[in-house]
Amino acid sequence: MAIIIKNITKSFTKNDNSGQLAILNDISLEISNQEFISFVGPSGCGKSTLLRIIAGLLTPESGSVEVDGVPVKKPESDRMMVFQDYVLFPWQTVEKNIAMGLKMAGKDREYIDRKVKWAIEMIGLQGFEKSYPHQLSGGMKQRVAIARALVMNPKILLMDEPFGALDSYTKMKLQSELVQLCAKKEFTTCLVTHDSEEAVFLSDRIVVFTGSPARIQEIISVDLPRPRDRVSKEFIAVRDHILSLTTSGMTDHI
Amino acid sequence: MKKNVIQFLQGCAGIAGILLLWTIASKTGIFGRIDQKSAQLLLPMPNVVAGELSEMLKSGYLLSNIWVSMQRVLIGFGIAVAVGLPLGILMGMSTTLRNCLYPVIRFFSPIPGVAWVPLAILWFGLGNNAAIFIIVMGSLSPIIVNSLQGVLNVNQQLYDVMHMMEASHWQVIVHCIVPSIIPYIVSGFKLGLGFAWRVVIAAEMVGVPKGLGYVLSVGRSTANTSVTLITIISLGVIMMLMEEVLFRFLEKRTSKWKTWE
Repeated sequence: MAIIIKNITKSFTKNDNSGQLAILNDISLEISNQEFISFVGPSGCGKSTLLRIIAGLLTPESGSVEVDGVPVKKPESDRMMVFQDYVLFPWQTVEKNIAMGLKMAGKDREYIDRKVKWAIEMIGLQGFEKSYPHQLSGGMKQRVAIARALVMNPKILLMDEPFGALDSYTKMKLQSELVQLCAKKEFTTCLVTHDSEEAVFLSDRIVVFTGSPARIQEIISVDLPRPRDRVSKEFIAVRDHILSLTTSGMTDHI
Repeated sequence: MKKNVIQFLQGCAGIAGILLLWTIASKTGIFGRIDQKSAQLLLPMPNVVAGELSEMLKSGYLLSNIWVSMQRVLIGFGIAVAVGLPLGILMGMSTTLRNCLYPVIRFFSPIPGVAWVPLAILWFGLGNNAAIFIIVMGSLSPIIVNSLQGVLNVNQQLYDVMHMMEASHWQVIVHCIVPSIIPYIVSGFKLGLGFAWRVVIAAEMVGVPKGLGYVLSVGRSTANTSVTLITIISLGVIMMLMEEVLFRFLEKRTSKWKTWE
C-alpha cells in the first residue's frame, strides 16, 4: 500500500517539564506500494517516532499519514511492527506467540494452525514450536517476531532497528532472509536503522534524516540488482555516501 | 534426584540442630537463667511436648481449632483477593483511579491489622465476622499494592504489540496484563496470607473465641507451655503447607518462561 506522509510535526514534553522538545518538524514523504524504504539518521533524531506515527501508536501534533488515501488514526493489524528487542510474550511458546494476533482477531483454529505452520516453515524454526522465547537465541527470537507480524498478512511492515541487537553474522543472515521475503512483493516495508550497510543492502530508497528536530536531508534511490553484493564498488559507493551524510558534523559534537 | 536427597538431609540437619538446642536449653534451665525445676515447666523437653501434641491430636482439640482459624483465614483472604486483585489491576490501568485511591491505601497499609480488633469486636461482635473483617483489613493492601506494581511494570511495548493486533481491553487484560503480573501476584498473596495468619492469631488471643490463637491464650492462662509451643509449631507447619499448595503451582508455571533479566 502507498503511504503519504504530509507535514508531520511532533514534539515531546521534556523530562524536567521545562518545555517541549521538537522531534519531527514538517516531514513530508511519499512511499509507494511494495516499496522498501529505510529511515537512516543519528540516534534520537526522530526516525523511530515517525515509524510509530505511521503505525498509529503515536498521534502527530499536526500533519497526517494516509495509507491508500485513508488517514491513519489508530493501530491496525494491516500495519505490523517489529521491534529491536523482539517483544515476544515470554509466557507463550513460539507457536502461540505467532498465533497471538490471529487469536485476537478471532480466526478459527484450523486457519490459525495452517498459518502458524506456514510461518514456522518460512522462518525455518521447525522443531522449536514448543520452545519458550528465553530458550531461543536473539536471531531466532527476531524470526519469531517477524513471523508473528507476517501471519497477519500486513500490507505494511514496520521495522524499528530489527537487527540492531544481533551479532554481525546473524544480522547478515536475517537481512538476506528479509530480502527473500520482500521479493514476494506482498507488503510495503519501512525500516528504521542506523546501519548504512543494512539500509543499502535492503532498500529501494533511503531517507537520510538530520536531527533534531528531524528533517529530511536527502533521499537516495538504490538501483542495484538484488541480491546485492556488499563488497561491490557500487554498493560501497552508496554506503559511503550515506555514511558521509550521517557523520558530517559529528566531529563538532565529540 | 541425588541433589534433592542431599537438600532434604540438609534441611533435616537444620531441624535436628534446633531440637538439640531446645533440649540443651531445657536441660540447663535456659542456659542457667532459671532453676532446673521451673525449666521443666517453662520450657519442657521436646519429647514431653511431642507427648502433649499426640494427646491434643487424639482429642481433636488442636485440629478443630486449626480448622476454625483456617476457615477464617481462607474466607478473609479470599475476600481480600477478590477485592484487591481487580482493584490493583484497574488502578494500574487507570491513572485517575490510581491517583484517587493511592493516598487511601498508603494511609491504611501501615496500620497493623490488629489495631482493628477493638472496632471489629464492637461492630461485628465476638465471632467469625470480626475475625474475617480484621483479616481482610490486614491482607488487602499488600495484594492491591503488588498487583498495582505488577501492572505498572508490564513491558510497555507489549501493549504496542497488542494494540497493533487490535486487541480489545479485555484481551489486553487476559493475554497481556494477567500473565505479566503473576510473579507480583504471588508475592502479594504470600505477604497477604502471612498478614492474615498474624492478625487472626492476634484477634483470637484478645477475645475472638476458638481458633489457634484462642488455644495459645488458654495455654498461657493455664501456664501450659507445651500448648503454647505446639501452637507455634502448628503455625509454622500450616504456613509451609499453604504456601506449597497455593503457590507452588503458580510458581512452577511461571518458572517455565520466567528468566531474570
